[in-house]
Amino acid sequence: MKFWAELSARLLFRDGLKSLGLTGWISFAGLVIGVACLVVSMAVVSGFESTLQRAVSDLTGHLQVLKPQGVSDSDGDLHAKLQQLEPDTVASTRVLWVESVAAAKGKISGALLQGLDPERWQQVLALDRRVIAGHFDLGSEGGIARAMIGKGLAKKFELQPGDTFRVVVPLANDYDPNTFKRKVATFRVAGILDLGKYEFDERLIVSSMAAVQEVSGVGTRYSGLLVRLKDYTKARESAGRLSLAMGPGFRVRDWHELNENIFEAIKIERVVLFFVILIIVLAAAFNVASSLYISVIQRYPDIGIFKAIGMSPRDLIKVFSFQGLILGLAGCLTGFALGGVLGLAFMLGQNLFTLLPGSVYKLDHIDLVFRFWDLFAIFSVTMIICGLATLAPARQGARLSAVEGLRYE
Amino acid sequence: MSDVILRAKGIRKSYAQGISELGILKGLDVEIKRGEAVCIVGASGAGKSTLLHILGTLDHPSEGEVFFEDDNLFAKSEEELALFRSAKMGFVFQFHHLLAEFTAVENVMMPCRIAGESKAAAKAKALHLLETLGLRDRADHFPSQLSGGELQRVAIARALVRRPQVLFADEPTGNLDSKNSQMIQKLFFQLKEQYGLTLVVVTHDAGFAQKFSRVLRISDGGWAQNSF
Repeated sequence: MKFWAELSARLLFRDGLKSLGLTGWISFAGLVIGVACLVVSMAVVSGFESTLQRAVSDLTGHLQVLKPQGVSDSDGDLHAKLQQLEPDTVASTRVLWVESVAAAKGKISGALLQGLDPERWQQVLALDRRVIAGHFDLGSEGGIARAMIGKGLAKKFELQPGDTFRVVVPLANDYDPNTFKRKVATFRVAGILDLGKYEFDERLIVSSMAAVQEVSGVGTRYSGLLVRLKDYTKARESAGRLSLAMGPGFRVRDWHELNENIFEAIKIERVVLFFVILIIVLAAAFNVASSLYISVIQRYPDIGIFKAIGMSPRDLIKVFSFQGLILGLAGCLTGFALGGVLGLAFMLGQNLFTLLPGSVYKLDHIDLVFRFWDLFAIFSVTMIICGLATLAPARQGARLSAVEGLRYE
Repeated sequence: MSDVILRAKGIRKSYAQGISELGILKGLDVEIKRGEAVCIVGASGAGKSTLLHILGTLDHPSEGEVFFEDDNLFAKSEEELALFRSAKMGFVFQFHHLLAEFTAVENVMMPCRIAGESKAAAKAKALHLLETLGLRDRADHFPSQLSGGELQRVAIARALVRRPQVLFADEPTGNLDSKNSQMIQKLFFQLKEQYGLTLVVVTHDAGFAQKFSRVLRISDGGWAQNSF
């Protein structure tokens, strides 16, 4: 350890930090609170982003390769075609979406039926980890297909695993465009899903491909494929490549595009939030600097002696700036710890109270994510601010002539 | 090697006082030989300490030059002057100016550590000096635990630990009782002989001044007639 660093720490920690004084401690507390706010807000934003991304990926994969008119047998083996065209593909599964109306216990509600390939969906989606009641089963029993439903829908219809409900699908009338036929099917609730996203939870019914094809009367047709990629962050590039390769009949969407507005808003929000909350850190750092300034003034006689015994102005600047960095580091680490505690409180609070109304924020629950780069940015910026803020008092000390310092008593 | 270790030419020092200037030193010349013991005396406010500070490069003159051997000191940058002071000069003041949060030995080690010496080497030198000054058993005491005479002896040890060629002392006995004052006076001359020091001391104490081979008297910013 360099001597100036050792000296700096010894001077700062004299009498157990009493030299900071009450105002110094209040400034330090401000710094800690600022850093903690930054940590929590970045964790909330990152958590929002990753919770949303996971919710979308778990239900619809990383990519969707869809054909608006529906994929039919004449389109050949789409799985093989996809593997050949996009080498980053890990697996794919067929999907069929049908708009419908669900009815149970005298209530009705709009619903989205999602038919999945019972043999392949697990290679692409992670719905099984979202089961909160019952178990994941897309089979059938006594001619009644089993279905998984979103928790919002279950709550609305007061459905439990084992209960049945009906689904009505309107079908176009080929002979009279002003009317439509309806097809009705009964499903048995196998399990309830917490899909993580409000609109999914409120509307989604997942069942087997065969059952959904049956009730929607589409024969063997389906909407397209859901795709899992090796790296979800490269989904946009894969979507671009596939879009060109699959031709105009197909539409390829990635997980990001499905919620583009939200993800773009989060990106901007992250930067804005960072700089707005950084103002707290900035103000606190200047308060710390003013406390250090007082401490430098109190040290005038010592500065005189340091100069007399050969300490250079540059080393004196280092001694006092380093105190700012020590306080910055301590503020950062304490702020990180406080941020962690506040984050934990937020997570607990989510379970006890409705902190995030799902109808407004799309998600009703988010997992906080403390990203390394967020913490690194907070740490770096705080240290830079503290270093720069304390440079002025340090320079003031270094500029003092030895005689002025010695006379100051 | 020249006999003259320190030479000051035309030293003037004045301070702005409103729109006028207050002249403290009015063009002083002085030469101090290697190994000489020089005492500067004069009435309060005559400029003794100011001259000492300028000779020791702790303060800049308004005009004039100070040479150490043939080296023009005030042509150096502040960084160079700090290095120079660390290597060639030692200072003792009326108040000990020891750092309260460091022990006696750590205070004495300070100039060596600032100069980049290792902790072990600095401690060995500091302990040796404290032993020479009869303070070995007080090495780990903090300044608040030492008496006035002990504090001043620790300050002397700190001034000598880098083996300076010139030791400057500004009223080193001014804050001590007569017993401690006598002890410190004796110590100065002992150390001068032991370390081959050039001694430049400012004092009010006529008894102390009499012990010097050369006494310079400042009066009204210049040398008085009876300086010798």
